[in-house]
Amino acid sequence: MNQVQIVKVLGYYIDAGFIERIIAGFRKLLIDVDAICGRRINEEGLYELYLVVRNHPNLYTAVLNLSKTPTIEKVEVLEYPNTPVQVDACESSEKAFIFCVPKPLKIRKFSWGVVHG
Amino acid sequence: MKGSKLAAEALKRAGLNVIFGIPGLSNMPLYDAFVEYVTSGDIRVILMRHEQGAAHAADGYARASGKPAVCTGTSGPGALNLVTGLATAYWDSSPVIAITGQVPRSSMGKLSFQEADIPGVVASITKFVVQVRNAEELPKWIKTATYIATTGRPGPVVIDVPRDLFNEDVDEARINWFNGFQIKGYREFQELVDPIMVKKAVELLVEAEKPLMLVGAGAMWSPAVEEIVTLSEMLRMPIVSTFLGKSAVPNDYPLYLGMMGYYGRAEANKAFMDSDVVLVVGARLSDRTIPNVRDVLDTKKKLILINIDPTDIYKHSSYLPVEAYMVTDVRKGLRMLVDAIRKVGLKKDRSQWLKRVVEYREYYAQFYYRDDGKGLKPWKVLKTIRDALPRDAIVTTGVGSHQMWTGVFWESYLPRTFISSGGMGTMGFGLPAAIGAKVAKPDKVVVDLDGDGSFIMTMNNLGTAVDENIPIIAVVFDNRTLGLVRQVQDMFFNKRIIAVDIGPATDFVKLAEGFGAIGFDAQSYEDLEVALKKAMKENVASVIRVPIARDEKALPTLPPGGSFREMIVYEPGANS
Repeated sequence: MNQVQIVKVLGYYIDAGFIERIIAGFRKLLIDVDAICGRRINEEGLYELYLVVRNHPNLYTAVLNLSKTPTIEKVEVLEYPNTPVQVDACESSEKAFIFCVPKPLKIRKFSWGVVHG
Repeated sequence: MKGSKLAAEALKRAGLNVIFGIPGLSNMPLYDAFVEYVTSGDIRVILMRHEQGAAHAADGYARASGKPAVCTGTSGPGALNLVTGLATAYWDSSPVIAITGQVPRSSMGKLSFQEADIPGVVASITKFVVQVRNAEELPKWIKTATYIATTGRPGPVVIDVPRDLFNEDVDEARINWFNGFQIKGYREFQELVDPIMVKKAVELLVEAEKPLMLVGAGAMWSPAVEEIVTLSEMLRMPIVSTFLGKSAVPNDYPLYLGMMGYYGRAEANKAFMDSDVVLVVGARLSDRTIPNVRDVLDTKKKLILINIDPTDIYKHSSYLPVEAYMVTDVRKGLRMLVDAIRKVGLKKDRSQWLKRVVEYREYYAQFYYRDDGKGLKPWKVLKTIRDALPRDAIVTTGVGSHQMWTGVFWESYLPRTFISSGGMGTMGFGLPAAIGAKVAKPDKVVVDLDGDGSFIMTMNNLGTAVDENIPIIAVVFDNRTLGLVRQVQDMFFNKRIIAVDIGPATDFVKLAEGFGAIGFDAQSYEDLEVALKKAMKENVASVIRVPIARDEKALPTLPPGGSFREMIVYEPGANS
């Protein structure tokens, strides 16, 4: 099993507490977050956040709890055959803000009690 | 229109017409706007003596009525004092709405007077929190809060309002009351009832040798009394409950064995251990109900779950033998099972199983109902109170030994008549929750069954009950100690008693009288009965002190982290 998982959270931003709630979902269950990135993806205020989290026995509970948190639309656990590697793609650029996520092999989706994958 | 008036009008339109709280600098404009609404009788404002009491009172109101209630506090300490009450409501899924004042936007982040980051503080102990940024949005957030608090798994919601928004002028033409109301990123849980699962549940239930139904608070919120009893009778299936599920089924129903769990009745725990199939309805199977999962795994039982919250089912399925489940409201789920079982009929003779649970009940009775004549016994005190109160009386409790005694010995007969802090175990819950319950149900007798340690934590709110003419009765089990902690020190910490005993000086009768309530000192069961009848007749706030021996234990119990196989039913050598 990979040492980390990538969790994608889709939800509606009201204020920056939206990000706090997501982080707290992992913090409350003793799960460490190695990296986080996110952005607004439409004019309706829908955001996507990607978190690289350490594997932990509580991860499933954290994902389930997040998936029923008001303002959060969907939580996806992206699965990879090997642990994705972090690279600094902006190293030689002064302008680019690159936002890319490695293509997962499999996705498990959780949303308000509906589970896919 | 000022933001404060907009908020008051929105509360009225949302049906939130009872406000428990305390005004201060940052929510004062809101209180100012309440003046006209209070004068017209549209809103009732109740001044509590501490904000923790305000949150518990709103919680008591919600649990007694099934409708949300509002609590409020000013910025900083006022709002922070609500925190314990909000966490209590969250753990027990109670729809409380808190409106907290906040410092003006221009003052934020400067360690301003009475500034506290309430959204940051409450985010993890409430279902939802929002800090309003625009006065025009106050109606939207009040409506949103009401919807989120009352749907799905109910829970508390906080609306934090910077003071300057209350003072802001809003163009009435731009106010969008509740039209086109929608909440992005929130929805009620979908019903998920797979016919294959229903069929499997039916097969398990009709084929089981020793089936058992475990009812939780969800069955009380639903409520589903008729369905529970019908299914129990059809399948000849005994019923046990969680602590908060007690009032989901009439406690004098012959097949009801009582509350199971850490401090549960021995016969209920034994029946759970012996059962082969357990139908769990509206219970989240907390560590108080099933302290040790080995008790489920080792006995190879099969679980069938009915729960409105699918994530509970998924969580349990990851470590417990869940054979079938239905994601739906308890009443609906039970009706489906009743209809399906009616078609296939009962296939097993359950007479031996029923005989066995009746034998358990009779056997353990010898340990419960002891009386050496020395002092008042909790079980007999509760029986005396039960006999004196009408069947539909509502009781609340504090937290401690007295709470466990009520769990074991109190009989509740109707949903929403047994209100206690289960998940959070919040001492001080009983009295303010009773105030809220009485406001919600003024025609019902409301009694707070409390302990001395728990009562003293929020008893300042007795002044509210007197001033507001809210005639609740508090019965204080006075053992001059934090009994449940003392019991654990005594039994599991080698009798090293520390920091639990309370001195003799506190006089509960004088305290009651000091607040303008009636105080009684019941030295006998007869005194207690007379005091209760007088308190009900006088119909004013009353406190009845009942002396209990300091070493009176809350039994049955388990060792910390223990199994039902290690249940301690009586204290060897003790008189009771």
